[in-house]
Amino acid sequence: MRCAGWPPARPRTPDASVTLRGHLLWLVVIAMVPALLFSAALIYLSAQEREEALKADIEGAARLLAREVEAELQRTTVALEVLAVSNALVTDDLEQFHGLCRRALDTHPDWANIVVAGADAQHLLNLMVPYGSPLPPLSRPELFHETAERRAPVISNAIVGVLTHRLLTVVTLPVVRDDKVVYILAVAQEARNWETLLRARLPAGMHATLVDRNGTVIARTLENERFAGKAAPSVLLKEVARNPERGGVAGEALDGSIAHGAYRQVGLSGWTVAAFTPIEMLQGPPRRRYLQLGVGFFVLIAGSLAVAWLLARRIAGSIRRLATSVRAVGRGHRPLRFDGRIREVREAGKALQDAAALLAERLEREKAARAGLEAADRAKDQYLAMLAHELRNPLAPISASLYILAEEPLSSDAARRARAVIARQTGHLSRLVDDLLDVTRLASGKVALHMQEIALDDALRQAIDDHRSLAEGAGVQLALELPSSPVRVRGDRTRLAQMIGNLIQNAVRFTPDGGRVSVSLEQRDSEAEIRVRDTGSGIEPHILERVFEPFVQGAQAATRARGGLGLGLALVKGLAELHGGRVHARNIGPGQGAEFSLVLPVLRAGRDDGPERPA
Amino acid sequence: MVRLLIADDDADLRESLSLVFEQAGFDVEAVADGDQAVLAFERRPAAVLITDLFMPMRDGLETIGYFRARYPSLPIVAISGGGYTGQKTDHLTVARAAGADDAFRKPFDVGALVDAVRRLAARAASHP
Repeated sequence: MRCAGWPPARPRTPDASVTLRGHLLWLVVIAMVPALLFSAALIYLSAQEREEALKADIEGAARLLAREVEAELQRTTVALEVLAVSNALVTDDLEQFHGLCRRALDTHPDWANIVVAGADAQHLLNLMVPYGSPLPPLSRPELFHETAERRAPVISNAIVGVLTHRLLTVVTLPVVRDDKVVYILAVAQEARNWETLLRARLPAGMHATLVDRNGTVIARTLENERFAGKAAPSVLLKEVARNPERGGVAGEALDGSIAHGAYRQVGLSGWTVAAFTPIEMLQGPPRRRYLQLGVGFFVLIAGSLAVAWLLARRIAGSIRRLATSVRAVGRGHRPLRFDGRIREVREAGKALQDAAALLAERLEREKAARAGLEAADRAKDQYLAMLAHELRNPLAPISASLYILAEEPLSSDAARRARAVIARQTGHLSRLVDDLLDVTRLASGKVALHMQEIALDDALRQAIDDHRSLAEGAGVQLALELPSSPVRVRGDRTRLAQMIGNLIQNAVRFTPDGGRVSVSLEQRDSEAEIRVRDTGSGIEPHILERVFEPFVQGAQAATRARGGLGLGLALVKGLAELHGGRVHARNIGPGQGAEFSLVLPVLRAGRDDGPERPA
Repeated sequence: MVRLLIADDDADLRESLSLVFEQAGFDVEAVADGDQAVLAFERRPAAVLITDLFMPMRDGLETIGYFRARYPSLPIVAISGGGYTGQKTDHLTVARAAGADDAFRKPFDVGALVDAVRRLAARAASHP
């Protein structure tokens, strides 16, 4: 199966046609691709927006956490100041102060230990050790020295406790009397407390890391146990070194994952708190959207292609059926019926059926016309044969007579009779030829009439006289019946005589010896009717309807030597019509002979004009 | 005198052939159709029969068949306007097949017809 070719039309290659299916499939693809690009652009923009918002969130979280950590440190410092002004310390009653500190530890569960040192960092009191027990030297004397020198609270980096072996942060406070540092108070807080604090304030989906001034992780909300006390990620430290106050960072986190974050410096301590989110949080959703879009697009385009394919198959099937139908019509069959669901194709099918019906009708008509023409052609061939026969017939007596004339003296009786034969036969021949010429002239409309007023009575009497000898020769009686008043017509005298003569000759020819031919004239309204009846055997039915056509003759005539050319009645009809009249033939009854009528318009009395030209 | 019977419906042909054969020394009787020919022959038999092929009543072929059946030795000559053009079988060929001794197409050479009739009459006279 050929699916598609693209581009669908190369104008210069004449036969680069593409199937309907190909066109539809490409339509689907072309319609879907911009939709895909548009959707992708929307996803991209929304991802950008989301990323911006997320970055702002992360920054906000870092700021919040920095403030929280600072506030906690502040609270610790204040708590130490409260202890510093307690009665016990003011009176240097360290035993009592030990008890006070015990209660303070109880009320601050996040405090791991309280240590009191002298101005020169001698270990005076340690809440991990019962009062009065000997104390080891301080594990971090530099912290206390720094506090004494600065005479201000100091906040440590992450340190590992000597007794507890746990990660701690320490806040120290100098106790000053009379401008002299007398004590240094220190609170150790477990580093994991910071994790709790960070976690409590952290928005969902984010993580946070608290890093000290050395770049060591104090606490972390993700896998704290694993990474606390270790160095913070180098990307973060690099950023912080460049810009300690605040900033953004992206890169590999401690656990190897890629994260995106923001950091803030924590007041009082110089620590840094960083909020971050896995890069997944930023890029995951858009990537999922792209994937969904891709899958959706694939499903959509597959579905659309399937629908287009089915549609194309239906349309192409209909069109193919139509083409088959057209071919069937071309071969002269009937076209198929169309009941498909595509209206245009149905309409085309209907139109095709109409066209086929029309074509069939035309073919039928043409066939009939051809049959008619062929019949006419056959009739003409037969007629030509008969014509040759009829024209040749007179030549036999003429040539026999000429033989006599060559042998006999001209004055002899035989020569006289031979001359008479020649005269009769040449007359007969010239009549045949005249009839033939007349029919040809009538057919081409070249007969000129010399119209004049004629009394039909006289014309009929004359015709009867002219044919009396013919009738007597055939043993036929001629009768004439005229009306009391004369009937006048406008006509050509010679042609009128020819018409009447032809009718009489025809009647005599078909009347047997001893029969009778009667001619009558009658006027009815504006018409005169001449009727010629015979007592022959009538006209055969298949001849009757064509009796006035040229070249048609009854079977009997064909077997007669003097059958004539069968043109007489055709001439009567043609001439009658030229006179504005008409002819009619009928059988009087079975075996009772035939009657021929010649109807002509009458010239009204006292008028010279023809009826066709009213004044 | 040798008696000759002519059957043809064309009066002028009858007339002219009668003159020709009378001049040639025959005793001629001419009739208009086959029935009359039969009657005339039965009244007075002839030595030779000339018959047209197209005639009313009993037509030429029938007439030839009739005479050939009853008078096998009677010489018969058929004359005709000839077959219509386009007709498959020439009527003269048919006439010969039906038993005519000779056949002529109109218009014929009258001298040849006279010779043929004389020859047939002589043959009939030598084989009675």
